[in-house]
Amino acid sequence: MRRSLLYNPSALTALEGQSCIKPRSERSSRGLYATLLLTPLVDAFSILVIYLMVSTTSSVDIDINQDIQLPEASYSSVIESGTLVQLSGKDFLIDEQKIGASDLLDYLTRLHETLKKASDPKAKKLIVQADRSENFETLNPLVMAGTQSGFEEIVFAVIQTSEARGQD
Amino acid sequence: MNNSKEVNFELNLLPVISLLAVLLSFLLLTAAWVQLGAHEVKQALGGESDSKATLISLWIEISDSGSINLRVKQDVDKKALREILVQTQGNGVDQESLYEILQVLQKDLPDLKTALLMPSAKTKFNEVVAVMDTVKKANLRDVGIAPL
Repeated sequence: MRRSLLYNPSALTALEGQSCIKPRSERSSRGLYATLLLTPLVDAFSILVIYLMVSTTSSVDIDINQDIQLPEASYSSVIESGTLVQLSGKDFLIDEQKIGASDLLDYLTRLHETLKKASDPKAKKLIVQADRSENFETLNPLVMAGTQSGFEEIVFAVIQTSEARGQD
Repeated sequence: MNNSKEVNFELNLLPVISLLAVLLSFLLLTAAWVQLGAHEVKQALGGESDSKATLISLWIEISDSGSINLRVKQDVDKKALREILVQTQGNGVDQESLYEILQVLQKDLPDLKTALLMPSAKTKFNEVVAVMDTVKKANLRDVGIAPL
């Protein structure tokens, strides 16, 4: 060890260097280096990992448009997969395609048929993302076209507030 | 026979820490901090509505100002059995008053499980969701929305 490149006498601790009671002799191989206790660190990491894994909900990952401020609700249910429709201005965004209110019924009917043929679970629900400040008259064409096009349910996307988590 | 080998050994924790650090970083990056929820709307158009569930229904009219008119209707004759007006206090829908009235209604009419929302053209989406939330809180399971 003494001959090794890793041995560096200057790396001795100050206590070792100044010690009069038990000076570091040539024969003694004991060092006063304190080993870092890694067990509490592993414990803390494990707790954090378990907490994050448990708190990750099984809900579907859905993109939220940054321009849309969703309304808040306390008694909502967990969101499931479906066809996402975002309301931007007076147009509707479906699969990053802008659809006008007049073409909405035709587009949704065709989309529903395609999804149904492919046995896609998105054929069941229509998820609506709209800004909280929108008037209902802007949403009305979507509510009208939603059921007529064959989708079983219309779902309004909301942000869950704390009260709701207890209900789920 | 002097066995100087120690039986005790220290477990190398560095790989464990590395693995946990990677897992932790991954979970922190992929965690959804905003919880999305959903309010399901059962449509009352055409023949898709459930006829069994709509024996007694509550029709909720929301005005532009946020005041609410409640009408309890029986599907047989479509006459309003009861009519209650919930006046708004300040801006928006008065959720507390609505919830109290819904609770009283549910005590009187335990079969009441269906509500149909009728927002006006200028009703804000936020207010529609607030009314839906209160209705769900009052344990009315089937909530529909009537188009304009």
